[in-house]
Amino acid sequence: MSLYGWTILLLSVGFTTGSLVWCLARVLKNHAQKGRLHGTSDLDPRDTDP
Amino acid sequence: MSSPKRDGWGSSLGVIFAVTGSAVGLGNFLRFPGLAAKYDGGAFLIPYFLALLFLGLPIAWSEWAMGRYGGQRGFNSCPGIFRSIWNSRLAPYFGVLGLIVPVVIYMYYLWIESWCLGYAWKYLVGGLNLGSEKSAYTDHFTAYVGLGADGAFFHQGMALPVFALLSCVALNFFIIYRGLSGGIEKVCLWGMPLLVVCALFVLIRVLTLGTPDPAHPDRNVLAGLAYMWDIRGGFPGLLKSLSNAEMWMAAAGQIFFSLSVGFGVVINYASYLKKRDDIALGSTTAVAGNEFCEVTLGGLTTVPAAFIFLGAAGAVGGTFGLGFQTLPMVFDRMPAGQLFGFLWFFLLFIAAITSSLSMLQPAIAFFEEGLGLDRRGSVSLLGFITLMGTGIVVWFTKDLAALDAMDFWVGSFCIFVLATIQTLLYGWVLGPQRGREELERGGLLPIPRIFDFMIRYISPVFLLTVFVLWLHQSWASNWQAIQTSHAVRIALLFVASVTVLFLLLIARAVRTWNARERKAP
Repeated sequence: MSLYGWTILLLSVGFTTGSLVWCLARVLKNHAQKGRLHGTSDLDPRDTDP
Repeated sequence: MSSPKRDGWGSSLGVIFAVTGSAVGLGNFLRFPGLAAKYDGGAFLIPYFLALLFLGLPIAWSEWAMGRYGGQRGFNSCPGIFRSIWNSRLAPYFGVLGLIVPVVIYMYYLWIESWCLGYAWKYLVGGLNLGSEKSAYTDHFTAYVGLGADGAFFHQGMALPVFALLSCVALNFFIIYRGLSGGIEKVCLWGMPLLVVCALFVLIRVLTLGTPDPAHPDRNVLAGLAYMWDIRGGFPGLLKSLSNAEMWMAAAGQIFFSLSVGFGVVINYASYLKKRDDIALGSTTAVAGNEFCEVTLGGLTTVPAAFIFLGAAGAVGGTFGLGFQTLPMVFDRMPAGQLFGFLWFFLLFIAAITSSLSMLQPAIAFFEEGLGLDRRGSVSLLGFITLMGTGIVVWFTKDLAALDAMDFWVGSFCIFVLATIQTLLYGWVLGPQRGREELERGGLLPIPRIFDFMIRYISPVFLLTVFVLWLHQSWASNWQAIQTSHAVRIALLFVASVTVLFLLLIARAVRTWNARERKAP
């Protein structure tokens, strides 16, 4: 395979795989953060016993 | 307007997997590699990625934004969403395309899905060892599908092809009946990772094949990859390839169909999102997931595998030819071919079922919010309509006349029209400002400013250019088919009847919505 072929293969596969990994990492990171925030904001002091 | 009990997604990951599952189908693993091989290998990737940036991604973003915009106003179906965006009496009637496109595509897609299931089963039980002659696989496919004559599919009685089809019907309606988060989302959350795992196994097998046939030392992994990815003829060859207008059209068409934009599905799925849910990152992730399956998994597997065993002549072919006639021959010659044949067709089946499920949801949403039907009622009504359509497709099997007619007029022509309407609605009716507000609310990814300009000017022009070129190329043969084939006429008469039925139901739904809004304080 020529240098052109390798360049296109690596760029295409790298771009699609890299963008999926990057996007999924951000989605999962936000998923985890949201879970933590939920835990804090869901605590309503009015619900606690005196 | 709001229905008493609204369906919804269980998690952000669920909706991303569902949209990706809807987009990833047979086209990713069969059509894309076939096109790339046909249009000079690597050169095809240049117009392909340009179309992704200027057409696919902007339309995907706009569909997600319009979907959630409509969802926040109580609408999940295309007619309702269009009505909430465009204050015109005509708006909901344009939305009929967002119903008939997925419903009619489902009618024939279900049958193809059943082929994948049937072939996976045959590999599992060792029933596809037909030797090394291509004619054996072609004959098998002809008999399995009933290509010889109309009605031949049913003449087999309760054999595997019919049983696989009935299983797919039952499975789709069982899952859709369980709802959005309990059915579609769960299937996609399990199905998509499973699909990727199966595809990775097959990919590793293909990349470690070396030179399997010492009699043909030129047929090896590197040569297979070169056939798919290399630029033939160096730099002058690249320039020559890029001057081919047909290749640009094919690349844009592939991006467009692969991402399921203009399908009526993404707009429906996004309508179930909550007001502050992210859509910018979600839509981009779904697009990235589809591209990974198409370019990385599909691009590195299908054509190189076919080339390694069959040479250049065997590595080119249409979706069905490559998938159901060439690849079984490849698995026959591959070590542990039975296992990899099963994995391959099973992954195609998962890709197909996650797509077919998504095609049912837009009409279900419309029946629920427009006609006030409950889940059981809407699933039953849709089941009746789609079974009639599938019956027509499966009866007129000779040369796949009914399937091809529906695929051209609905699966291609109507999709172009719907995508154009959606792009104009977003760019010129909803407007970039309101659209951007929708995209940025809860957004976890900044959308570049140039998007506003692209979706207003570049995407519609790009879309219409590709549409006109595509129509110019394929209109004559399909128009002639209407005049010469009664199967095509019956299939299209049925599609027209379904369209009229949906238009009448939209008229009724509009009266209900208007009455409810007048009563609302």
